[in-house]
Order: sequence, then C-alpha cells, then structure tokens
Amino acid sequence: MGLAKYALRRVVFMVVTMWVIITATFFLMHLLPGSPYVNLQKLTPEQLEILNTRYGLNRPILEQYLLYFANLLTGDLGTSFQFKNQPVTTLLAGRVGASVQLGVQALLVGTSAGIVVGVIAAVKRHTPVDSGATIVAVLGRSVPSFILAALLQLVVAVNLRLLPIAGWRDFSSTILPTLALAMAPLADSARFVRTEMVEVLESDYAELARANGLSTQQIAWRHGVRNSVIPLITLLGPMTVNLLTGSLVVENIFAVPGIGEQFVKSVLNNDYPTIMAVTILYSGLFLLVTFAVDVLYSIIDPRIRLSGGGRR
Amino acid sequence: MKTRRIVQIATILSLPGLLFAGCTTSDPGGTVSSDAPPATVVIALSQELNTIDPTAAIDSNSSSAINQVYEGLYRLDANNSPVPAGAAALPEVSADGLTYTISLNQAAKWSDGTPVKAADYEWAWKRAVGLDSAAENEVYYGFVLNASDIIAGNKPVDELGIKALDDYTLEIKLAAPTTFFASLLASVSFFPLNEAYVTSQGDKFGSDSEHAIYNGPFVLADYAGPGVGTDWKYVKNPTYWDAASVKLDSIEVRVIKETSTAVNLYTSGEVDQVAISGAQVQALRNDPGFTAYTTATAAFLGYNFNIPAFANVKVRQAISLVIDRAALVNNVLNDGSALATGLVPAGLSSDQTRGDFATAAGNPLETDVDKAKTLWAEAKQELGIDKLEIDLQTFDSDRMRTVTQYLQNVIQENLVGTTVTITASPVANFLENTKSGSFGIYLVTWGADYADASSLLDLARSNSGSNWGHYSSPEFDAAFAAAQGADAADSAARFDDLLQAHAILLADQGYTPVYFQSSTLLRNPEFKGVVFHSAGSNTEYKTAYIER
Amino acid sequence: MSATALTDLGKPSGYWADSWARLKRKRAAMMSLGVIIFFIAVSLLSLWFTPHNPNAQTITHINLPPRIPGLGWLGFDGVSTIAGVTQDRYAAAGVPADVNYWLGTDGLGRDLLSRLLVGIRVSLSIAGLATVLDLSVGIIYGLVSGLNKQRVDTVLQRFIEVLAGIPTLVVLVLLLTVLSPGLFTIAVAMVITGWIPMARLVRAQALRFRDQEFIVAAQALGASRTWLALRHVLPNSMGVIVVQTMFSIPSAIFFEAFLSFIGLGLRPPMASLGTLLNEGFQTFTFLPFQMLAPMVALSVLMVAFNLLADGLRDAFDPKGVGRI
Repeated sequence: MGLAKYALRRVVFMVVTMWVIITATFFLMHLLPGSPYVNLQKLTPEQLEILNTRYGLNRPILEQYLLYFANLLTGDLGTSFQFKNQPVTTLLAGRVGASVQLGVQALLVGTSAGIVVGVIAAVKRHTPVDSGATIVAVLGRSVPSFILAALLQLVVAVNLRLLPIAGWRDFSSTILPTLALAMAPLADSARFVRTEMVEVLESDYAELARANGLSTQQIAWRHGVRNSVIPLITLLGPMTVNLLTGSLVVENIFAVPGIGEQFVKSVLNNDYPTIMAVTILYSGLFLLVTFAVDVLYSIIDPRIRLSGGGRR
Repeated sequence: MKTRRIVQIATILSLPGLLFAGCTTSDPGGTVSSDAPPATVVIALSQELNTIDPTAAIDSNSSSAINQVYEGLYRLDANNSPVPAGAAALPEVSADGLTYTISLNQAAKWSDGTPVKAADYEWAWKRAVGLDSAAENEVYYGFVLNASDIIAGNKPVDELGIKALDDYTLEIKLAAPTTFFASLLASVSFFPLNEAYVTSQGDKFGSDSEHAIYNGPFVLADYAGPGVGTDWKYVKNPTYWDAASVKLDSIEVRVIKETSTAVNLYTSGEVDQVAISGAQVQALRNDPGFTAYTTATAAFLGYNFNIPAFANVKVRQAISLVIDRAALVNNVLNDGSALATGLVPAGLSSDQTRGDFATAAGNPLETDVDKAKTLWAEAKQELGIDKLEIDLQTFDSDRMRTVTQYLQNVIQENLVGTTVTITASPVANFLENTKSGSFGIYLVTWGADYADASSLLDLARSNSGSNWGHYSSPEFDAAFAAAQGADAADSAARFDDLLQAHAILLADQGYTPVYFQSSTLLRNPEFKGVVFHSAGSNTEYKTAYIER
Repeated sequence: MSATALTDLGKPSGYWADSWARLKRKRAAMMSLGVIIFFIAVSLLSLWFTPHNPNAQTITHINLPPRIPGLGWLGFDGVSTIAGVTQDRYAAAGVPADVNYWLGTDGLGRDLLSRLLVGIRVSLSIAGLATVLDLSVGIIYGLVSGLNKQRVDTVLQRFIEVLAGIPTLVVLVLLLTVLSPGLFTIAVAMVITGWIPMARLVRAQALRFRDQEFIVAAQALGASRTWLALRHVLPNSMGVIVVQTMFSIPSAIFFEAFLSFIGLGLRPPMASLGTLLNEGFQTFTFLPFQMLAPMVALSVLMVAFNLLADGLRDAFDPKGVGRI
C-alpha cells in the first residue's frame, strides 16, 4: 500500500489505542481505594459528603467519564487535587522540560556511544576488545538504572565530589542522571550495531571491497555504519519505554523536577486528574515514537508496508 | 582518515552537551559554598508545597511554609501560648465567652506597602468557607459562629461570625465558648488576605511567588508554583513590622524527595537541615546535628466495642499492662519516640494556673505482666472463652509494622490463648476497614490539630465521627461535655474537667496509648533559634540565626 | 527448500543434540547456566534451611556489619566505620562469639544472608510464575492467531497492537495500587502485557510452517489445526521459545525489583531482591553492605540470564533464521 494509506492506518490505530488507554485508566483509577483528600483520616462522613459533592465525585461514574472526555477534547485536563488551583496542564508543562531534556540526552549519549562501541567490537571481533565491549553491553542491560544511579551518586558525587549530588541547576548536575539512564540504550545499541556490522563485514560485497584494497576499518565506517545504524531506529520504541520506566526512580534519586518524580506520588495520593494526564502523556509519547519509527522505516524499507505492516 | 572519523564521533558525542548547555536553568541564588551571603541557610524538604494560599492549606508542609511568609492575629510561643502578632494585644472576651474583640497591630503591612486591616481578615475568612475544600478545614472554622452551616450550604456566607468594626478593630463571634480560641487564631486557616490584591489577580493568585503579597517575617521568592516549583527562597521582609527580630537574610529551600539523597547533601555541607526517619535515625543518633522533638501525635490502639471480648474492660487493661512502653521506645523503635503517659503528649497545652496538661495528668500507664495475666484469666472466665483471635489492623509504614510486630509478640507470649493477626494496608484501605468497623483492634497515629487537650480527647466522645470503635462512657461524656459547655469559659475549671475525662479514659482503657511520635532532624549545630511547635505550623524561622 | 529445513521437519532430536553441542562450546553461556543452577539450588534450599531465621528480629543486633569466621582479613571482621568512628560493632552490641552474621544485619536485627536467600527465592518465584503465565497465554494466542483464517488472525493482531501501545509501567502502577500487592498479584500484573512478545514469536513460527507443502497435504487429508500445532509447530519452535523465555526472565526480575524499590511491589517484611534493595538504599551512605549484597545478587542473576539467553540464541539459531 502507498505511504499515505499506511500512515493513515497507523494514525487511526493510534487514536483507537489512545481512547482505549484513556477509558481503561479512567475506570481503573476510580477503583483506587481512598479519595484525594489530605485529611481523610479525620473527615467525618458528613464532611466527606460535602467535599465529594463540591468536586463532582458523587456523580455516577459514567457521567464523570463523559464530562472528563468532553473537557479533554477542548484541551482542559482538569485541576490537580493535590496542588490546589493548579491546572494540570501548567503542572505538566513546568515539568516536562526537565524530563524531555534528560530523556533526549540519555538517548543521544547512549546511542552514540553504543554505536561506537558496537562498531569497534565488530571490527575487532573475537579479540579481547570484543569481549570487553560485550561485557559492557551485558552489564548495561543487566544492572538496573536505579542501582546505577545510587552507585554513581555515592561514588562520583559523595565520595569523589566530582559532580553535584542532586538537583537540576546547571549542566554539570545533568551529567550523572544522564549517565545512569544512558547505559541501557548504550548496551542495546552496541549489541545491535555489532550484530548488523558483523553481517556486513562478512558479506560478499565486503569481501569484494577488501579484494579491492579497502581495510576492514574503512569498510566498517564507510559502508557498514549506514547499513547498521539505520535499522537501529526500530529500537527507538522499546528504548523510549525503558527510559520512561527508568526515569521514575532516577528523577527521584537525583531530585530532577520532571514528570516521573510526580507520577508515583499522584497515584499514591489519588490525584485523579494528574494520573490521567501523565498516563495520556506517556502513552501518547510512546505511540508517537512507535508511529514515527514505523513510518520512517517503511520509507527506508518499503517491504514493510507492502506486506501489511505485520513485520514486528 | 581515522582521525577524521574520530573527530566526527567525538563531535556527535559532545553534541548533547553543547545543545543543552544553554537550556538548563541557571542556578537562582548562586552556589551555596563560600560565595553565599553570611546570614543564609539551606533547608531540605521532602515534599513540595501544595499551595501558597493560606486558606486553602491543609497539609502541615504547606502550612509551615505559609507561616513563614504570612502572619495571623497571633503567633505561638515555645509553650504554645498565643502572643500578639497581627493583633496588638490579646483579645477582649465578652462575659459569655462568645464575642471576641481584637484591636489590630497598626504597624502591620503587606509587602506592597498597604496596611493590614480588619477587613482583610473578614474577607479572607468569608472567602475560605466558600471554597470547595472548606470542609477539610472545618476542624478550625467550625469554632466560628455559623461556619459549619455555611460550609454545609445551609446559610449564606454573610452570616459568618466575623465583622470588621472599623479599620483596626475586629469582632469575632463563636459558636460556643472556647478558652483556647486565641491560640487557635495562630493557625494559617485564619490568616488575612488583601481583597483588592487577590481579586485583581483572579485565577493567577498564588500561581507562583510573584502573584501574592506577604505580611510575614519573610517574603517568598523564586517559587515557580504548586507542583512545579521544587525550590524557593524565604527572603527577609523589609516591610514586616518586627523586621528587627528577624536575623536571617534569606533561607533557601530545596525539595529532595529521596531522604538518602538529602542526607548525602547534609553530610557534604550543602544543606543545613534535613528530616530523617527510620533506619537513618538509628544510624545517625550520635551525629552532632541530631535533633528530636516530641510532636502532638500520639500512637494508640483502638478497640472494636461491638466485639464482646474487647467490650470487656479487663481484656483491654490486660493488653495495656503487657506493653513495655519503655523497651518499645528505647530498644525497638529507637528513633526518638517517647513512651506514652496518656493520650495527650507533653507540651501540647497548658493552663496558666495548672501547668502542662500531660504533666498534670501524670503517668497512670504501667507495665505489670502478672497483673495482666490475672486480669486476662478473669476475663476469659467472664466471657466463657479460652481463646481469642485478635485482628490487628494498621496502615503501611515502617514504624507501624515494627510496633505491631512487637505488640503481637508481647500479647501472644503473655496472654495465653491469644492469636494476633497483623494486617498492614495502604492508608486508604486501612481507613475503609476502620471506618466501616471491620477490625478487632487498630493501631493508628493521631495528631492534635490545635494546642488543646480536647483536640485528642474528642476521639473518645461517644458520637464523635473519629470514634471508630464506638467506645462509650457516660462518665467521660459528662466530664467532656462540662469542659466544652458549662465550664467552657472558665479555663481552670475546664482544665480539671478535661483531666478528669482523661483519667476516666485511661482507667477504662477506651484507647490504649502506646507512644508519642517524634520529629527527627539533622540540623547544622550552627543553625540556631528555630522554634518548634507541636501543634499548628511546626517550624518557625522568624528568630532563627546562623553562627558561622 | 534448504537442507536445514528438511531436517527441521523430520528429526527434532538431531536439532536438539546439535544445539546442545553448540551451547557447550560457549563458555560464557555455560558458566551462566552453572550460576543460575546454583542460585536456584540455594534458593530452594532456603525453604528448609537458612543460617538464621530471616524474620526473627533481634533488637540488640541491629545494623551489624558482615562477619565471616576465617575471612576476617578480607574485611569481614565485624568492624565498621560510621561518621568517623571505627569500632567492632559485634563487641559493642555484646554479640556472642559463635554468632556470626555473614552478610551483616539490617535495621531490625535480621540476618541479611538469610533474607537474601529468601529474597532470591521470592524474586525467582515471581519471575518464574510470570514467565510460565506469559508462555501459556502467549503460545496459545500465537498458535491460534497464526494457524487460523486470515480474518481471525487480523483481528487478533489488531488487539495486540492496541494492547502493545499501553506502556507497561502505567498498567503496573495502576493495577498494583488497586489490588493489594502480593507475590501472585505482581506476577499477574506483569503478564498483562508480558505475553505479547511470545505470542508474536509463536505466530511467526506458525506462519512459517503453515504454507509448507506437506502441511497443506496433511490438512487436505483431514488433519486438524490442533494436530498441526502440537505435532509440528510447537516442537519446532521450542528453540526460539526457550530463548525468548530466557530473555523474559531477567525482565520479570527487573520489574519486580523496580516495583518494590519504588514501593509498589512487595512490602516488607517480605523479602525480595527489590525490597532488600529498597531497605538498603536508605542507609547506603553509611551502611553500604546492606545494599551491596542484594545489588550484586541481582546484577549477577540478570547478567547470567542474559548471557545464557544470548548463548542459547546462537546455539539454536546460528544463522538468525527464526529471528523476527
């Protein structure tokens, strides 16, 4: 099918998925025990009644859902229960910058370093350099980011005092959180690039190039990189998800004022509007990235959409 | 060739750095090391502010912050007694104790220069009872005439018992005589707001530090708004009427949610104060900066009186007698908590003639395992049982789990035939269980809302909404009613009534107090003069100073 | 059709023997297998025997550093330095000379080694349970989807696409707050989206086989889809299934540790790698051993599973034929 039709199909899917997510989250959220009131322990039943009426939590759940959806379509994500009078959009807008910066930094650093490591490992395969690179890759994927964060903070910031312990003030305070989150993309990229690169280096046309006098290094950098890096974008989807997960804890440990730091707290506090908004944000981001990757890749490799998109 | 490739790779790697070096916010107040102005400290908080609108503040964290930058009619001194602040003197009370006339401090000003007038109080309170969240603050507003009816929607706002007689005289009418009302006025819910300013800001009022004016010892600066701002500053307020007493030039506040990170910052000298709890307290007990305060929060056991076993006074007394409170607090908890001597902690409320309530009440709680066994044997006979299954409920926290495990141990060991099952649930589930009566015994912590014993004793009143187990004692009700009714205007008589009620409660073991909670901090020993209040806003930095 | 494909269909035993031989040649994978077997054995043993009772609190023995008799010279001598003060904590707490806590004790006086053993068992149980559930649901779904008519397949695939769009994190966080956390609930929560990779894999395998001539012939003779699934697709997919399983176990272990670390998973006093990490993290700066032990255990487990999975994948499928 043509590119436009493929893209359209994917967009329709995204919308449907978003709707399912929003609905499921909404109803799941209202199953959460408790209510969003700080003083819950001391509230009498009458006071609870008054509060629920004021905040519209007394109405039948279907009515609340329709109301929420109607507001959503006009861009009104509600007011936070936890932070009085603060529209949720302002809340998220103030925090999204830090999270995005952290995520993008981690992705860039991780993938670039990963590519370099992968290429070197492939060129020097079956040598100690390759083993070393493999060890780094396995460790990067196996050691969870929150452990890494704790270690980095202890060793680099507290003991060696090379970098700030926490906060998000100047560039140097972004280094440790970025490193903690970058290890996983680094590991994944390195593995992937190495595998693809090895395939390239052992292929027939590489043989031909070598016969024509090019060194392995030259083949790797001049031809291999292009062929191995491009499929890397298919990893972007899962990498984004992992970054979202990892950011929850890393933001907490390094006191980064991002969205991850807020999310768990809003769930524990029954702050319904914030929970919904963060869910929508995360899901939307994930869907967008997946969509972009799919469309991009289908441009590069038209076989994908021709076969109906059932590649993965 | 190779070098060119390396250069290219290196450029890619450094790209994020160059891209973002300009994007991050620059450090607002300069580094905290040697370039900081001399009279400044850095504090770490574990939670963000929920609001900077005094009448919307419900949690203690926001109340504490608001207390630094706003001011009400009175402040509390170290004994929780009221001291004039926004008011010029203590109130003139009418003979029936229902009308309070207060003359205001004419030197009090807002940070934009306008004087603080009586109308500001009247407008703020009337606005407060009309807010959606008003019912959460009813515990305070309820003392004012008609406030409860207004919150319930039964009366119009104008009937609220507050009136500005002239620019600097305020008249407040109460729903019932309340001898401690003046200290109640120190709560942030009763703070003033300037009508002209607030209405001119509309929705933006309180959205960040620039959209509010302040009348307290400090002004708020660099705060990006509730939910967004994770650090801010208190800067000495030049227009404050008592600016001479304020010794610090500024206080920098950073929100660090992960306690271990905050402790790291403290040990490296970057922050001067951090709150600690649990395992960290045990490990840092001997640090020179360790400070522990007894709060107004008591931890106690509540019984389900619908279960015959717990309705039997001997069973309850037996349980209370097997608890070795000293051992629990010193060995098991070991985190600065104090053993309970009753339901009311020391330092909460005192009377001019009678002294501190807890001291006057003494310590009727003893540990006597033999007596407990005897009582338990008698109780078993009376009830006709030889086994008892105890469903012990509590909420999910390290302390609660530790204490319930201790209790389980000590009850099962000494009271033959008992089996204690512990259920530690998330707070919401716990409250559902307790409020609906599906429990045997619960362990809970309860903080006093204001500096009077009645704040905690109200739990034992028969028709109190917080009396989840339905403990009911006519003698207690009578004494308590006398304190709140007949003797309400006579502070000494009232004090005696409450003491009597308290004694009845403990003899009955309607609730079994276990320990008093502590607030533990690490504070730079050079950071002095911080006042701690067990009720109301906890920490006051007005008179704090740093000795470097 | 290549020679490998023919042998695939007719002689699964040769395939297994070959793969095993290939695996044996990979040292890293074999070592990892050994490590994993060791961990499983030790954690099973913990059901009956642990050095101390993992739940027994000895109030006077809190926060003791590790002491292993005979290894004192390595630093396991019960001496630690906190806030500049170095002392023998065991002597200070009056611990008898024959009582040794090999990995120290936690803030309530419980033996860390015993808790670690129990913790490994719990983490492996959750991961195992989640993986088994993932397997069951995923395989059945994949077979049904791959071996049915195009329309059924399309519908089932669309469902997967929508489900896969939901970030696992959100589902986990919400579910675990609604349901009370426990071993079983966490495993189930992880399965909600965890079965998808397995389903996709098995479906791909099914699609590979369904168009083979002999399969079409057999169907013409009346063979049912179930026969096809159980007799041919499944046995020949075992290789990739095993590999996928080996990859999903560390993912499950990680999620449990992550959830418990942020406070949404198991709660103390249950011991799992995640809760131990959470407890140890609070005092990491001055009592590092409390977090180091579970940290090392978790990392070793994850590395071992990943290496084994890598090795298995190379062993079963050296040319990457079955990869998606």
